[in-house]
Amino acid sequence: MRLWLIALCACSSPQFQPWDLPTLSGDAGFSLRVPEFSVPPGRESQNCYFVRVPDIAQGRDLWIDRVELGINPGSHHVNVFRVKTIQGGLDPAAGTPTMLGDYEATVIEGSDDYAHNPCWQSSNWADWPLVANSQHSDAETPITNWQLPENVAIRFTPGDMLMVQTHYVNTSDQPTPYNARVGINFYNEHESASLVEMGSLFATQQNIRICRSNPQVTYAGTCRFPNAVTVAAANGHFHKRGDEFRIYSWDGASTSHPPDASQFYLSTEWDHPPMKLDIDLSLPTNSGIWWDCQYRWQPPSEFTCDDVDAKDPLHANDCCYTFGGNTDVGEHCNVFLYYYPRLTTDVFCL
Amino acid sequence: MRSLLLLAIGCSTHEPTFCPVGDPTAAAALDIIHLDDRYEPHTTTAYARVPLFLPQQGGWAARLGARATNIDGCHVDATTSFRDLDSAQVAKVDQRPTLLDDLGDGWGITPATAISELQFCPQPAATRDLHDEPYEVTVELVDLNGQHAAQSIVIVPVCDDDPTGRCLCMCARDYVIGSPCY
Repeated sequence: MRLWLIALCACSSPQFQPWDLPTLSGDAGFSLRVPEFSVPPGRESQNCYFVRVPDIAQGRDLWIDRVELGINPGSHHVNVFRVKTIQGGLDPAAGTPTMLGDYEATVIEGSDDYAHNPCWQSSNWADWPLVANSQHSDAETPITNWQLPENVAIRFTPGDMLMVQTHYVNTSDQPTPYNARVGINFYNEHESASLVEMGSLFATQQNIRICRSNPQVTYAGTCRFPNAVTVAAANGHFHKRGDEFRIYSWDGASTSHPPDASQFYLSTEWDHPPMKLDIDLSLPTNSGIWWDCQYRWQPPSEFTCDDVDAKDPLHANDCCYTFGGNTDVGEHCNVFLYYYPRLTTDVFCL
Repeated sequence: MRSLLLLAIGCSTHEPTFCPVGDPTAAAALDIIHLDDRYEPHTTTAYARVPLFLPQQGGWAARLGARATNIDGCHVDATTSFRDLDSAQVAKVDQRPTLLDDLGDGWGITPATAISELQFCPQPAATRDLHDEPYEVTVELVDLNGQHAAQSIVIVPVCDDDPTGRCLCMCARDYVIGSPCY
């Protein structure tokens, strides 16, 4: 019986073909390539790469209408932020020089030092707007191709500082069998006269506790837009205790849970949450979103409850997972959402 | 085999713990509380100056909970929100499972481990400063048996515990996210 099972697994395992993205040149856009690296078994790796938007159009702003991300399996997330307020040591100038494809960059390698390394300290990007992200990586479809809605684009000014954050996990829950490797293509739309700017919304429930003594819990929050918008894309983000992640439209006036009919996003896979594209949901002025993070407690797989307890700021000694980036000892409840038109600001609900 | 499985599942089912605070057959009631920077609870009175603090991922939030009676202290959800007095619009809602520690006098209080953190700032849709101005907060509790209590009260969120000035900056009406606050 065991032999049969092994044979079946060998036959059905996907044959990984390394992804290949074209290298963009001229004013067609720009290509970033994170140098390949390995993640030791049982470990996680979070790196922060800093690079400036190149001047590829004689000083004019770039209007990015398509983003392609090639990501080897094992990736927990790849996020691209605009760098704003610098604090707590997450400073591009403090990084080690490297190259992201053809472009000079610096990197702060966070390894799995989630307690001390600034690349893990989330307060650093509390006002760093998200540009693009993907949590999708599997051997069969390693490329995420995000074509923005017609006449909508992400706006870059040459010289803008970006941060590409990679987070790889190499555990039994989320293995990294082929090394960590990430590439991003930003495609530039030349005809910018009629384009509308894409904005991003980042929302998080920071005060979460998933405890052994109360194993099934749901946390919810809301976030309002400053103007009438159309939601283009969204994805939810939580860790191993995550059961269901739901996002609803919210009228901005009610404190009771929105009806099921207003739900527009669902994820039941913490390790491969779907990026929902082409949502095309119109929301009026003063409205927003409501999101739920539903959890089911389970013990850590790589660390111990002593490690989880050591991270608990309230020292409840109940193996309570609290807010934190490491997937085995911390939890998240984050919304990444893209909307248009962006007016004066992106949106953060912290 | 299926019968055995069902039997096993049936045996493992148990009634949830019931922790009545006061008389669960009487109408539930609550008073809003807030925590100071030392996590000490205070009963929130009308126009109380409620301190905002900095959570680890940024923003400025108030720690709000309840002192409640006639409700199950073990299985209760809290919905906390705030709104501008000039509008029917709700600026922010936080919903979470919470607890009530029995005070021994028929009332229970939200412990620090189950408190709501309600983000006040930044708010891109703000029409007034979010500090030193009155806003209405509401705390609502619902237990597993449907016992329900709520209170709304006007408070004044303040940045008194932040010596850096960043709270005043990010809670200003015209603050634009990403602009410097030095």
